Amino acid sequence: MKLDLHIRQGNFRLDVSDSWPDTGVTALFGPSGAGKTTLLRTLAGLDRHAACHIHVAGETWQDDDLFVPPHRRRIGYVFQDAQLFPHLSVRENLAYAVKRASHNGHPHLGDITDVLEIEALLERRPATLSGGERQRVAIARALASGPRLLLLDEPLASLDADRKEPVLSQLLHIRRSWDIPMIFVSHNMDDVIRLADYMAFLDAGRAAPCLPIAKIMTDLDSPLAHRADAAVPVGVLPLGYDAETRMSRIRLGDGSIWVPGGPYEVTHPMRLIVYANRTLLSPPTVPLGPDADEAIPCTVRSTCSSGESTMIVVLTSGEVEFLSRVSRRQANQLGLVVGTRVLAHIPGAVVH
Amino acid sequence: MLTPADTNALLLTLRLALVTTGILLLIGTPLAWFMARSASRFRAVLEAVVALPLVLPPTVLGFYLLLVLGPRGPLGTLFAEPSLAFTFPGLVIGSVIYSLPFVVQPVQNAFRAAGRAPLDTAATLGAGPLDRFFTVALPLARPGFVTASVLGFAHTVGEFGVVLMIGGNIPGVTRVASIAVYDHVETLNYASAHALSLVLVAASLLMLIVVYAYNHQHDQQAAGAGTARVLP
Repeated sequence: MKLDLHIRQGNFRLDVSDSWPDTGVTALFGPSGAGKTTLLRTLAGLDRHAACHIHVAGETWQDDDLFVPPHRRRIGYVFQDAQLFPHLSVRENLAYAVKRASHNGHPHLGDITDVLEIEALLERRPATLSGGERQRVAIARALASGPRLLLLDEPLASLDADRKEPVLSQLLHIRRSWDIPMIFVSHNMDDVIRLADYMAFLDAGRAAPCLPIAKIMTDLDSPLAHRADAAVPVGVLPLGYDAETRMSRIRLGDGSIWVPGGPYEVTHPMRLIVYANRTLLSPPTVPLGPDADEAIPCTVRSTCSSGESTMIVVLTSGEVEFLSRVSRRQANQLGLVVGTRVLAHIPGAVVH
Repeated sequence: MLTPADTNALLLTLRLALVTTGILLLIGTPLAWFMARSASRFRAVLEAVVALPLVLPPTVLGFYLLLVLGPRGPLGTLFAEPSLAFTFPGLVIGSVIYSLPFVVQPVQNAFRAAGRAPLDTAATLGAGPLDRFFTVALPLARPGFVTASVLGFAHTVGEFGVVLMIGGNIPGVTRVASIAVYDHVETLNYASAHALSLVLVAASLLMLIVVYAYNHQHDQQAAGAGTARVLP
């Protein structure tokens, strides 16, 4: 999709001129007040601003002469506060969407309620649902409308950690099950890295180019790589499963590590989130066999000082790249410069 | 006890209030919708005009209506001979104008309390403007409509000045209950005045109890659902 948005509202400005992918999950990431919701509402057609051009999947939604109203855009929109219709039961809320859906290839309602685990809630009124339940129904309702594009405005922000986890994994399930492009607004780095494929960083009304997340996070010129919660999603392949310990061995770059859970299907694309703060480095002294556990041989691609006494290091292993944050002292001991070979350890890794 | 003439006056009052309330809901709903949603400057003028019957003495309103609907008025001979004044339709027109704010304001408040978000939500689910109005805006404003109907009805039953000016006191045609009570008092027929007044007091009290009970019940149902209560 091509976006060319120039919005002025008093002191607030929003300028975005970019091409965003028409597939996968794109995260619109940035601090509160950066203009994320404004952008999403403009994209949906809920707000109409002059000087905005929006083209999605070969269709023009808005230009100087044309404005397609939101009900003709075939979008699904999940609002931050769910916005279920209070006068309708959960079942009726879903039926409202199904009744107005266009009937080509949208997910089946039974599958939707199944994935979001809301069958037991169908006869309930929205007022009797918990925050997490409401958000799940709202996601289900948006999917049931058969959207070409799903817009999610901070769907996890109002949920505490316990409630958030199931919704996050259901969103991951949706991403795997249906080929619906999503734009996901969030100010939470961890949610973005776990869920999204691409990211556009929005700060003070200006959007950085939308690129694959791994590319953005391993760019040391970007402020994102220097954040304390910096992490990189990397694609991993399952290699085997140990039924006794209930752990799976996965290939990561030129090495392999054990992670809890499984068995995972080989065809099932998985991602491992490698956190810069939790990736430890050691000298490459230990000879590595093919079954070596928990250590990934890698090469330093670039380094940058980050903060008073730490450095952030981009590591390459095979086709993947990830980050490690090390103290200057440790960096000196390991002699970390571009091209240095080290072993990376990723304790407590979990795949999604 | 109630005389046949008094019963007639009560039935006429009931008929007038029902017709008036029906017409008011039809006119008042789009008016309330516009006033709740529009950002135009024209809105303030419209709001003032709608609220005018609240502040004007009913006799002033009745006087102008008499001029407009009378035999020489611009609307007087349009629909009836010799004029609309002193007829039941004339009475309906007067009542509609007199009770307009009592219907428009609760509905307007209800539309405003429901806010824009549910309509936005419906739009993203593929509902067009009319669809959104009938499937989201109207149902969410239901407590406002209940209040509006009861207030419009009760206020029409209770009107006196406007009716006296443009309806006169024609038995069976324009002699409503409030006029009948006035007549009884004028002629010192306190027994009949008592009987008729008691019926009106009881009926009005009952209606108000129903609307307040409904609103309280709706409050509890809507708790946490984001629907504001609508009370007069």
